[in-house]
Amino acid sequence: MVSNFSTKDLVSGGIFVAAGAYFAIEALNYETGTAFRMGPGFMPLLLGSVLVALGLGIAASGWKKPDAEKPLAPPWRGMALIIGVIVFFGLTIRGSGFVPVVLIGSFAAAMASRLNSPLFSIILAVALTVMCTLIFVVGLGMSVPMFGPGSGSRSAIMDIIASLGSGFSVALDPINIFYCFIGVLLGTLVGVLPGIGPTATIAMLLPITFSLSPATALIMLAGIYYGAQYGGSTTAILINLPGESSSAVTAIDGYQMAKKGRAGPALATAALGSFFAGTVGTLLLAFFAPPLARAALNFRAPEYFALIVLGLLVSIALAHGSILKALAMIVLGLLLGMVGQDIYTGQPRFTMGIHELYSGLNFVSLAVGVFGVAEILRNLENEKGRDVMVKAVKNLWLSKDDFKRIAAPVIRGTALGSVLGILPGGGHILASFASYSAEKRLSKTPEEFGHGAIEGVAGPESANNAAAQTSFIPLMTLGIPAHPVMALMVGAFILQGITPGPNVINDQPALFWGIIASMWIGNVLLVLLNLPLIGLWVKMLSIPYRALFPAIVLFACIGCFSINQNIYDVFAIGFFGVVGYVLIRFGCEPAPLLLGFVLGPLLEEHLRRAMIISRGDPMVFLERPISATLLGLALLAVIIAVLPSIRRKRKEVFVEDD
Amino acid sequence: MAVAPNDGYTLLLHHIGMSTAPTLYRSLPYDPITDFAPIGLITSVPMTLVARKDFEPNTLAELAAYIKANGENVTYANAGIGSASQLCGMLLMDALDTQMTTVPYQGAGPAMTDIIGGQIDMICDQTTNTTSQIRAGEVKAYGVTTLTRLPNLPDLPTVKEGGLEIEIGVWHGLYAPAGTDAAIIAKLEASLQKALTNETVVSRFAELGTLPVTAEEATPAALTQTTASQIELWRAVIEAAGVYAD
Repeated sequence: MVSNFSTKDLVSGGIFVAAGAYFAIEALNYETGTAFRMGPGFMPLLLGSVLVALGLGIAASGWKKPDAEKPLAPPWRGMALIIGVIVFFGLTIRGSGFVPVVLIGSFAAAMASRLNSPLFSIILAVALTVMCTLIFVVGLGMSVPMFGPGSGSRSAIMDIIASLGSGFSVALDPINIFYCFIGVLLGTLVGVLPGIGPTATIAMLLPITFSLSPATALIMLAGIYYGAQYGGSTTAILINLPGESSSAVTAIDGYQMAKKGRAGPALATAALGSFFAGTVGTLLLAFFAPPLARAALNFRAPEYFALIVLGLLVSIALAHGSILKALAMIVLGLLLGMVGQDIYTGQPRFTMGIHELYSGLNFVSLAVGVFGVAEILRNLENEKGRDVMVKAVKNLWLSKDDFKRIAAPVIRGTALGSVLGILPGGGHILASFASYSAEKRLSKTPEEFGHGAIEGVAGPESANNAAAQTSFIPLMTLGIPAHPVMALMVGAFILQGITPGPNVINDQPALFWGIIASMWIGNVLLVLLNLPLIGLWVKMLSIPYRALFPAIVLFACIGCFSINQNIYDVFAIGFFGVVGYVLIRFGCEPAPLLLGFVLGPLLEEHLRRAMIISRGDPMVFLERPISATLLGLALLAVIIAVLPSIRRKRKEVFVEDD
Repeated sequence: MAVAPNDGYTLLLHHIGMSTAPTLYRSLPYDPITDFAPIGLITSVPMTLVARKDFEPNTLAELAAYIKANGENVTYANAGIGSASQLCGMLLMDALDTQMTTVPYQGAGPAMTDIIGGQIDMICDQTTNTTSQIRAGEVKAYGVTTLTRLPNLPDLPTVKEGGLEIEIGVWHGLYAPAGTDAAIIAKLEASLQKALTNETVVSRFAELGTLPVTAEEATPAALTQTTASQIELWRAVIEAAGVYAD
């Protein structure tokens, strides 16, 4: 570069300025409202302006820091082919049938690597098509026509469960253990596959639970949910493909561990941490559910707002690069989270007239795009260096030193997750992010985070699983669903003729305690199921990358499409794959973006609700002790983050750029 | 759904929203009348007026007077744009000729959380969401929006008894895509009729505070009529309130 500027900073700053300007200018078309009733335009206008300012700051920070090395050329051909495949998939999956689309798609994706010959690509495409058809259409009963317009397909698994179920109708206990196992097994499977998460699986299986006894049905459905929390970390660690918000954090250090040949210990840490957290969460549920649920009711809109602000500010630790860029990524994430219908007025925002965007962008598409697809594009830059991903698998199990390192993070993660999971207004979402930030702050070697720190896997995985267990507390004791999966569980209760609410413990003690007991059994089953699988998963990594990545692209497309059968969810993978690739290339990390995305809608919802209820008086945030404390902590977090950089003359202690 | 294959295997179970969407959304991509082949009504879920348990008024008459006196100082929760609770709120404010402060939520669950937590004053929601909370004494109940009292909440008066002219039920209907073969529709209609007399279905419905519709109502003709007349009814209410979803 001829200029005095760092290209990285100049370009990424420019992207943020452009994105911020788009949101701010578009927001001018929506009402800003008053403090009492904030309009749909208020938050986007504010955040868009903040993003523009941050973008300018980032560009300016590159002054007198010209680039040291010349970056590798972007893999134009690979990028065009992969994005082409994703768009092709979206355009044709509805009309042309599953088999031809997957066949052509995987052939084209395989050709994105210069190492793959046409013959090899054809063989790979055929193998992948058979595999995808078996897994998604036959196994999971995804309803897409196999060959063009024609008949749908029925699920084999569902039929098997249903018929086996009617056979086992004598003894109660063996049945429940059996269904518990089926639940956690299915949960693990759908957790491993990106896209099809617990929500979709529970929704698909809901109808068949009608014929089961209430306890059995709920035990199985609960098993799917917490089973998926175990399975979700697997693909995040192995191939950087997080299936949901909680495993996005695991991907940061888990994937780096896998790259260094430590996939085994990473997976084992995830399983053990989850088991410990699951056990503690279950105990909490058993002994303290009613008082905890009552206490959580004191958490109202101002408290949630304050909690989310705190969560966002401490999460700057998610990135190991520049603070400014991490902040800009959070704000961009917040803005992306606002795409869709405003819940207060119904006004569609930033939807560009596309009806499918009314319900907002899909989290899985965004995560799969910025993590999975972006990583593939990066690997295509330098193919020879990365063909076999794992250099040398040292050991599958944890060393003594590893055990020492994970003990404290697991306990802290469990504590954090348990508390956050109880809050019905979205606390569970924060669990894994909060734990990661805490571990990085507390670590004596924070520079290892982002490069394969085992604490970065242990803490978040435990937090996530603890929250998964305790998020049953508001449902079981007050009948309040904390998130969409719990809302489906309400549906399951109702199907069984039980309305979940404060009466369940008294009216249905057998059911209540049965479900709780089954959760611990389920956690034991999960550990028994997952630990032996580690060897198998790690072997998968020895598949050459050039054969693995076309499978990842196709899995991502099929998985995202299967959630809502919405082709815009597929296009979004391609779009965010490119966006993620560009941003990572210019030194911005994707994790804060995802956190912003999941928290954006909640931040706005609770801010606006708090202001309506206080009739426009912002003092409400400071008058209430819990919210005032949380906001105080947030302020403290900012001071701690900013202080050293002032004291050491902005010597960039936080920048450990690679 | 409007563009799904009309082979009788893809069906839509939709509710009162079918009749409010054409007015709430000024650019709806489908037509509820011409794009669907109705099969029959299933049930009509009653709505109940409930409030936080320490809310001042104790009877329906006191509630009406309290809302009139306090107007915007009363907070009314709804489960989102186009939800039954939003519609019931419109009717209530229209009947009392008073505006309350509406606080929208994403779904009935979070809304009920804040009623139980005492953060919001009141909501009018379906018995499926409120019955267990009413029985547990977690909320104060004022009335039910049906013409007669409900068998599983016999102490709860109807709003008519309390002098309020509101009648609303969240009707649910089963639809196939337009152009579905008449023989298939007839078969589905027969299956629906059979399901609605199934003992388990009836008892589960009853526990939730609702009843299956009569055999005459579980027919394509009745659902066609209901869809059309409800669209007209809600057009008037929504246009009067001036609340749109886009």
